Amino acid sequence: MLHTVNKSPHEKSTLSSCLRIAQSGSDILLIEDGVYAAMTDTQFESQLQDAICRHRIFALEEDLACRGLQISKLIPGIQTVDYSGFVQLAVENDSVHAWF
Amino acid sequence: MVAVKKKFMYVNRRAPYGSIYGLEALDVVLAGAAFEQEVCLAFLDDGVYQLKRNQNPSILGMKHYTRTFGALVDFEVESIYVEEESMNVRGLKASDLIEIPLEDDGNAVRIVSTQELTELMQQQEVVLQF
Repeated sequence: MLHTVNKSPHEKSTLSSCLRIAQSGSDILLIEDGVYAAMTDTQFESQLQDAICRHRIFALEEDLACRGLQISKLIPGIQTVDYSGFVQLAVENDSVHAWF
Repeated sequence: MVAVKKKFMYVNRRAPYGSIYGLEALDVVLAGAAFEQEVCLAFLDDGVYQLKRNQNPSILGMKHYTRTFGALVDFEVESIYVEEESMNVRGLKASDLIEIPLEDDGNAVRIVSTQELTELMQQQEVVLQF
């Protein structure tokens, strides 16, 4: 299953709930305001670092660029995908769970 | 009619682009600025992300409305406060934020402590949050 998360972790508990419930091995894609969670030095960094051991975590490149977030400041282990990559992930997985 | 001048603070607590709040707030600020009120802006919580450098919303076909912050000084909005604590928990440093030059070479964007923000907010006559 592919989980997408589109809310800032600072404003909503969407990401925390996703990380709590998503099965190990499932993919997580951060989109829209969800990409703020992928950055280093935030109060959520350790939560993301733990999650990287259980999931492939991706951040959408276009949403990072839109918000002025540099790929060089992503938490190590978080990968980036563009829109084609998003489609690819959706195809690879049997289903998509959109968290919002 | 006697013009009444009041102290206004517009409080921004949302990230740009994920919702319409930031863009709408700026429209309200610019409309209000035409009435010659004493206006300042505060950015806290996810609102601090609105001042992040190097935004490129055109990649998503969206309007780069945050560029318009640079025009605020032309409307005599010269105090743009950013709460330091909100920056810290988001890993943002002063160098990550845009600068808004004042006529006298200063920067309209001022990083303030929570205590300073409390005091500034207390001095206002009208506080509007977005």
